[in-house]
Amino acid sequence: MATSPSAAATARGIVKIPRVLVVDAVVPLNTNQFPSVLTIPQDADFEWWFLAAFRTDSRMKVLITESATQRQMVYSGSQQSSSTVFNGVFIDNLAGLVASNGAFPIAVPYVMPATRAYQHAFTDSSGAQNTVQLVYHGFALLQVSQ
Amino acid sequence: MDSDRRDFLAWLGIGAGAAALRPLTLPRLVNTLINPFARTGSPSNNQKDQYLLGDGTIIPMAGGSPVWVYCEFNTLGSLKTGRVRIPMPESFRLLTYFGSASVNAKGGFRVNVYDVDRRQRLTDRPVNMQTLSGNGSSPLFQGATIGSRQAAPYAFKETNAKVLITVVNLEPNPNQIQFGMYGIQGGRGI
Repeated sequence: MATSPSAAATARGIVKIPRVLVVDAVVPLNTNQFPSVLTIPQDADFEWWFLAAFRTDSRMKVLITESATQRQMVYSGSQQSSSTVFNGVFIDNLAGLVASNGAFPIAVPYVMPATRAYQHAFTDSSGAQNTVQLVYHGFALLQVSQ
Repeated sequence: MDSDRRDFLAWLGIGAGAAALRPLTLPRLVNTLINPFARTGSPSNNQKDQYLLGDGTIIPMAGGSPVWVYCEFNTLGSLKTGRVRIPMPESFRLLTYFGSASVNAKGGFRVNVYDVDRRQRLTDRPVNMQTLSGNGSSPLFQGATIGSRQAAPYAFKETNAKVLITVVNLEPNPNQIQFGMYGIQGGRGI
């Protein structure tokens, strides 16, 4: 069944275009909070539906922060000692590998505003260089003239 | 019989207008990436029962941002218990638990989740990690989230909510245990 034009354009003047945003990083061994930035393209807001990951070793933690709001998407609930730095969630708990089992559904889609930057910090504890890719699947909410 | 009840019975495969098979019983023809929370087309017609990704979610919520609340325990010895009281982010609604353990030969760990503010046990008794929590590859969402299209995800107290997490290492070896909750912060019911 093809999606009807009315279904594709769920709001007046908005067309949803499938879009994939990618965060790539080659994290040196045993590096703490290696930075990488995802910037939403400026032509449209992005509606986030899936998160998928690739990594060469699972012993890697991730932190995600929305720059403009300083919103922490990974929230530390553990009572760490003062000498322990919170480095985020293990990547295999955050997202799935599409090649094996599928991506993680965001469940309630999140709209990321155009041009906004999302800071990623990767922490490796594998003892070897870790190549990682986080992939945001969703839709560009493209404004069209009537 | 009113039309809503008739439609519901048809959806269950009972009575006139019932579909022969529900799509969930059909084999997947391709390895399609399926978001189980996307709305579906028609509840009674397989040909139309294609989910409409991007057209909304079955969870009666809109807005808010995804949040992973995470706790990690210092390495626990054999059969030892770890306990932590988590301060929750404001306006958090629970969708799923996730967890992992460095050693997972005899079940990894058991966990108990307790809403301190409401004095509610969210698990009746300590539950093995595999039967409560998934992970990023195999998320196990709360039954209330996907079992009913009417039920809203569990909302903790709006501000300063606290959750008590208790884990027990089931392994005969030291174990590094992670446990967390995925949910939505903020948002509104629809």
